[in-house]
Amino acid sequence: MYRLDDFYDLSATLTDYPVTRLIGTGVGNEYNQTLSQWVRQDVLDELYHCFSQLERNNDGQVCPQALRHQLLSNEKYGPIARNIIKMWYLSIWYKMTDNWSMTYGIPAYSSPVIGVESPTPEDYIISNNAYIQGLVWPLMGSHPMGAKQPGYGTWSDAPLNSIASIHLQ
Amino acid sequence: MYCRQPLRTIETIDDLHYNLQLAVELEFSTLPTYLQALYSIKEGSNTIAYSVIRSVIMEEMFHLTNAANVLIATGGSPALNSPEFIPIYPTFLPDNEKWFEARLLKLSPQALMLFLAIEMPGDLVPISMITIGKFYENIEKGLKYLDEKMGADLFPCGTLDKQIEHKYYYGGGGIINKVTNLDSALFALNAIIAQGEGAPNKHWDPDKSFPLEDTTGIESGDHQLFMQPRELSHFYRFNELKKGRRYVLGDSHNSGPTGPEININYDDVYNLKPDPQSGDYIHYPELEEMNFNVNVIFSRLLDQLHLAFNGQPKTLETAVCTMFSLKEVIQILMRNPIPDNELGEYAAPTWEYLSPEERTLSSIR
Repeated sequence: MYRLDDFYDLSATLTDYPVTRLIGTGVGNEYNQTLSQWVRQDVLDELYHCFSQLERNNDGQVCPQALRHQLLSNEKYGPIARNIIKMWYLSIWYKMTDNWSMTYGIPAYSSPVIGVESPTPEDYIISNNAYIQGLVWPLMGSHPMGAKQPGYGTWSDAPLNSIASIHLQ
Repeated sequence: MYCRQPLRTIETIDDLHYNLQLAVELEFSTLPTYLQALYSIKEGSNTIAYSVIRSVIMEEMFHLTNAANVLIATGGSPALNSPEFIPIYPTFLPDNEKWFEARLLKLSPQALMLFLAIEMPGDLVPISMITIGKFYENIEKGLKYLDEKMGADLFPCGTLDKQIEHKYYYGGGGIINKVTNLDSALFALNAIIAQGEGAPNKHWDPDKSFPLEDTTGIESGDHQLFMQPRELSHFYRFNELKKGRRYVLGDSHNSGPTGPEININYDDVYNLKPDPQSGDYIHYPELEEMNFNVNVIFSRLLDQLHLAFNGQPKTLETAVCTMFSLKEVIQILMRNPIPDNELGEYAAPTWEYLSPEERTLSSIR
């Protein structure tokens, strides 16, 4: 598994969940594998290096401004970082733009050849189990339909407190 | 656990209540043992082992309810919400079986040996050794004695609304009947013996074929208790897993299972630390906090069950929801390896009851 620890460290900062909670989903390996499937290894190496160089606060947490400026706003790393966040929360791999893929993606998956249908699929759910483990469900105080049943009658209960932590503008 | 004593003759209503409370504790104390193994199975793997263990767990909860209903029907009050209700594992079971200890283990051959010991038919062990079946037979004897001595007073009025109804139960064999007299009390306790050990009478022949049809269909939980020819007792269900084969038509206790193979892949199991204690996570604050969260939800569950068995049966619905939450947080914990552990062990819950004061996060810091 390519640089799994680095993947978890970066993911923890990007999702704002502790590494243990991410490991607890049981699907981190699948996400990391998916990432390696679509992003070139040297680009991933650069991404992890960039992340390791980010300024940190006294508590060891990455400074949010540095994260925004140097990683999320970066033309090369930003799309990867956003896709990592989306994987954890929504269990979906979102297709990268063709431009980005041609420059930083894995050719076998991402090079559109003229006259040949591109093998790049559209957005897809990473796996059955990943869908169930999406972090968006507990965050909403909900559950994936048809899986992780919360029990008879819960539909009449108020959502959990965690929903209050989302501030919609 | 409440004070344990060897089996003794039940002569007073207090003796009876004491033993039925022990029965409730006994049934509950098997659950962490079975659940630890169940949840150690990796997602989507070992499906037969998963469904077998799960089916037994559903029926242990049925047994607990039956014992609690008899206790309520005879004027007692089950107590479930205290630290003493839950043993510290490894532990002897509350019915004073001293010949093995219940533990918290991942699914493994060793765990299956333990499960077989828990469900051991009384006829397979020396007469002096206590089994769950013998423990219940002693209670049945006491019930009959007291019924003769006290008559209608043994089952006071006003308990029906406090008892748990069948509508709350699903996913396992057996029917929850409210207890109103000696017959219904014996029916409830017989169900426990029959489902667990599968040998409820003294005239048991180890060479006699099990009442099986062509297939064993152990998952079926919808048959009525005494009309469920395809359902094996817990002991034999676990023996199928241990032997790696199904019982089929013509098989007996002595023949063992001769049917199709059951594959168990012990690599598709999280390598849980055996018999974990909360002190094990003291150097790993994130694991400590997750285990603490498990215990908070577990404690909430016990509070809700206590209410459900003490006059508010509808609380059982809420408790079932809490059971689902408990499963989720336990699985999250179990997927985490313990850092620096030389044996490559994973974190596992410690199953502790916390008082409401202990449930604030600051109590572990």
